[in-house]
Amino acid sequence: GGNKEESSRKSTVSYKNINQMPKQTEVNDLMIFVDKKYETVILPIFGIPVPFHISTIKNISQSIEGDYTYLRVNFFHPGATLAKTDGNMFVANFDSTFLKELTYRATNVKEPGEISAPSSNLNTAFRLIKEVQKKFKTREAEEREKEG
Amino acid sequence: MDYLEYNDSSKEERGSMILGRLKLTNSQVIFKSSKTGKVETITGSDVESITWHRMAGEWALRVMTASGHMYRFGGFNESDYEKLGKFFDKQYGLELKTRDNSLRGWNWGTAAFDGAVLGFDVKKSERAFEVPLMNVSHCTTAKNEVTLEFHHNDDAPNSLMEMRFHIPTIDGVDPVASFME
Repeated sequence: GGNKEESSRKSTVSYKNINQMPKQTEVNDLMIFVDKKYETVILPIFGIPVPFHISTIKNISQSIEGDYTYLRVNFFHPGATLAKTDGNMFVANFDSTFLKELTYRATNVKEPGEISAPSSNLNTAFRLIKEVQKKFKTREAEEREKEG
Repeated sequence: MDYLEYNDSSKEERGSMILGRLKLTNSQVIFKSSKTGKVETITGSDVESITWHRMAGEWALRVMTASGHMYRFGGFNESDYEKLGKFFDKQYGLELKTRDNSLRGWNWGTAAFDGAVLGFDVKKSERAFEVPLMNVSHCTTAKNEVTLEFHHNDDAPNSLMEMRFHIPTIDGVDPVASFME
């Protein structure tokens, strides 16, 4: 409902406790998982599935080089071009270190017995991040309009 | 109870959880990879701290040595905590500390160096992730920016290749020196 969206927009906290973290195999197997419900992208970093709220992601890009697919996630940070509302989180955090970018690589080659190549996880992530980001931005714009 | 043995354990290596057997004795921590048979041993007296936290959807033991090396063993259940806590207290004289991973979803925080580990803390008691620095193949800097490149790992479902930080210029401290081993 409206209240829930209102609060998530203001706080932009992904999960309040561990029980809200998805238990999908992608998360446990250290693949990328996009959680549409909590508008969060879970990225594996050396053994830990790390949530990033969609509002922290500036853009993503994907490229194929030889046998590999690359997925690059660019995060908002001070000094980057900001949308009107995105500046808020930097004011209070000007002395923080910001994670600016993460790049993943997976092979396009399917091993015998695999249903799909490892890179299909990056392809799915790319598509879903775009989708969640679009939805989030549209809602943000609508709420800004309502507030005038 | 002089030793504990976990046959379905795992060890984090370059972003993969390697399956194997973990044995904890009063003087050693021993991990044997079930795939390669490789055995790694940590001398008990070298263990400086032990932390209980979550990894890859399960509970994990994080063993930090006095020389600054971090070992992380996964595959534990919540119910293992008490037994392990008692074991380390009795055999190593160490408290099994617990730590929460940050679930906030923020990309800003504090970079903290602890031995050969770079930790990224969203809040003082909430760590988002850790980078074992031996995974770093190359490190470069630009204005307010540090880029880490990693040894790739084709055994992982996906391999983290690069990580870039924006670092504010406040105290003029060069964080690059700490990255270089």
